[in-house]
Amino acid sequence: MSTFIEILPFLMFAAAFAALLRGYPVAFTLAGVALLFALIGMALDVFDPIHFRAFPQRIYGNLMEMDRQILVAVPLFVFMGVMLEKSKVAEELLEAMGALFGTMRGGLGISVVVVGALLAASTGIVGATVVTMGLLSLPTMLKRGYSPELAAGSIAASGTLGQIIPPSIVLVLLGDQISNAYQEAQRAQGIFSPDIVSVGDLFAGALIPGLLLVGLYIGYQVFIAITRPNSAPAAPAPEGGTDWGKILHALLPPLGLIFAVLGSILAGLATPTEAAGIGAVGATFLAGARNAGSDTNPRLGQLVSFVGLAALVGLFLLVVFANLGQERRLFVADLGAMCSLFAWVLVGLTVLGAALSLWRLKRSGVLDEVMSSTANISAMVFVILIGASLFSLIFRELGGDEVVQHALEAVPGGKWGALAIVMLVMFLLGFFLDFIEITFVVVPIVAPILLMMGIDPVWLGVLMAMNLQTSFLTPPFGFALFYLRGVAPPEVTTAAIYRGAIPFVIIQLIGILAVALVPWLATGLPEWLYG
Amino acid sequence: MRQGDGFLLVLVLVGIGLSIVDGMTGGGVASWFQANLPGIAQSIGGKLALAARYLWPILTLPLIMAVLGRFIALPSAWHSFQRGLVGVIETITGGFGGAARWFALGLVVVTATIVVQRYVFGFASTKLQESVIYMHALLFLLASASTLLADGHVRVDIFYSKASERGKAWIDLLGVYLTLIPMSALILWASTGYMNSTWRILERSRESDGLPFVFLLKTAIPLFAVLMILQGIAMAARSGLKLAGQDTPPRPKNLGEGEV
Repeated sequence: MSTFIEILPFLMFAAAFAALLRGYPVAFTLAGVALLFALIGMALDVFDPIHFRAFPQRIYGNLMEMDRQILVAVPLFVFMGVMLEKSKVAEELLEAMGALFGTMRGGLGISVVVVGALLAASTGIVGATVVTMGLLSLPTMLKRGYSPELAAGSIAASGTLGQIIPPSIVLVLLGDQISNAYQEAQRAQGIFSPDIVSVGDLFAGALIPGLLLVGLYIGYQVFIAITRPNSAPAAPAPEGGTDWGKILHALLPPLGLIFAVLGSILAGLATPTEAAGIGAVGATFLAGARNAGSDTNPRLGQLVSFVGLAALVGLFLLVVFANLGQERRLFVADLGAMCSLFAWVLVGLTVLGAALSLWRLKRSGVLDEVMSSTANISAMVFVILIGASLFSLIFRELGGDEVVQHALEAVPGGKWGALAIVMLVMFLLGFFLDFIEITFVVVPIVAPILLMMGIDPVWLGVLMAMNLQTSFLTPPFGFALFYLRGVAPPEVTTAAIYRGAIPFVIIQLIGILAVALVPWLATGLPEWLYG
Repeated sequence: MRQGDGFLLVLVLVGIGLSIVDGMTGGGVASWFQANLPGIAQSIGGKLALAARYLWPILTLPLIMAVLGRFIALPSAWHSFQRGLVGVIETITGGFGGAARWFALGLVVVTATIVVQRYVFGFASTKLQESVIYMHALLFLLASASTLLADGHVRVDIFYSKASERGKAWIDLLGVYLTLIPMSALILWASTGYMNSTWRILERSRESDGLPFVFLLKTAIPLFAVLMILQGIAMAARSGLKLAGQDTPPRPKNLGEGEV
């Protein structure tokens, strides 16, 4: 009997896995399995139902308390991403980059990687990126004579960059879990003035590894263009030369947003939540100025939206200017009456422009779509957190913590062995489960143990994020491949998509290995920025 | 106006009306609530708990009938009753979701306002800060049921997507009764003491200049559970209709997509 109790946590994990594969929504399945094992635990007298009473308090404390501001970044980033998607940023970028690089051998492949990276840093929504590029770039690449394998692999891989390049929703949620785990680990070690690791640290940590992957992807495109020119031919030059105006029109919005949002987070000027809020407003201005969702774009409305956007940029620059070279934070109001008046005028113009943009978007229906999608994605993410918190509550009460800890300590090779086994398990789970489930279920269980072994939290977070990203790309179950299969033309066989993904999986493994062996790649930037 | 807009408008107008009356009477509304609300809530809560205790077996009806329908032909009146039930429930959950979606915009606007206040004018309002968390919580708690209706709660669909329509209907039906309703019922059951203690003192923010509505915010948790049970019943009824080879009511449009 006592051995049964000891393996109960393992059974619980196995049961959850089996139940999830049935296909009922994850959030409730996790809760249902947890309840079943709570009943078994009660029958065996190892679980006290009094712990159930804490469940609403846990929901409140985990999700709704004032100190959980960081979670608000999730709906805000989703709002920003969906808004950009509706204003056809991706389509314009693909066209512009295709025109810019397309005439080189391998150029279309490079442009897909670059667009994937830009979208990753602005919208960060993997599914939408893969679908858009699959619908727009894949047919073009095939028409130009690209091998289906290379085209499909490039698109799927570039789409997954959205997870690793900050700001990304994955990193917000993972950073939050790692942050909690780090505090728990330090408390368990008796450190009473613990170090804090923030989502901003993880953003900074993921930046260099993300760019490293982009570099490796581009390098692969160049390599193929040189060694197998037939797989990646050049497109004929467009008539009338390159249209720089069009390219700037496509590039400026995402670059501006990336600069403002990521820049203010990395510079330590704003929290991720604040930056996400400003990013969402910026995206709304862009969509409003383009009159997204309708065919016409009257000049006057366009002008007012642009003036509003310019005023917002002006306010941003004013704040940056006020803080430039100052040791303490200065406010614009401190700079004198004229400055203050100027700021008020800018605020007025911003409000006017925002109101008009919103009115335009409401009329065309885009605003409703964005709000509904934000509500749905937000509910999807956080209700999984509710289900997962019940799961981990009961997993812990059944002694799962100690079981996992003993198992990890028994792995030969110390912290490296434990890390390797955790990474392997996460990789395998990533075939079947979304990053959200893995982040909410696995990370809180294993991360405190790993951190207690002396592993750096930012390094661990970046490795986990890269690992999950890789498993989303790995045949046969990678999510990105499913998204692409859904929109790829029938002449691109599933086998071709799988074969095309494999080189990129190898590139990912090289990237992970690089970060594992040279931790500086992940920890260098946050240390340099935040000390 | 879309589903839920009117509902939200009425709530906002009631709130504004109450605060105007409160201002005119010099805090009269607030003190009346302070004096009477805990008692009223206590008696309503007690009646709800009593009703739940005796009425919960009704919830299993769609399950029983669906399993029964496997062996005998059900009367068509039952099918039309189920269709009507689905319509009523989805109007309710869709209304809540439709109203909640505005909080997405509210989050953006209020967060941006806070940022400008803080960085440009060096001024911070605790009430505004707290309203962000309120909107964030209400957004996902109240939109969860309509997200289920829109099939926006992520599934592991490696096998589900390949299952037949009947297979999917069975999974949904059993999923509702094995996972969704037990989880929601647990939340409701465990909330009784929690609600009691927060409504008794009409719990307010820990900050003296914060919002005094923590008890309402916490009440959104059992409300979430109720909405999920309702939508679960609708999901079960839909599955039952599908298993009986009947037409299911169309899903409402304008629900938005949901994938990351």
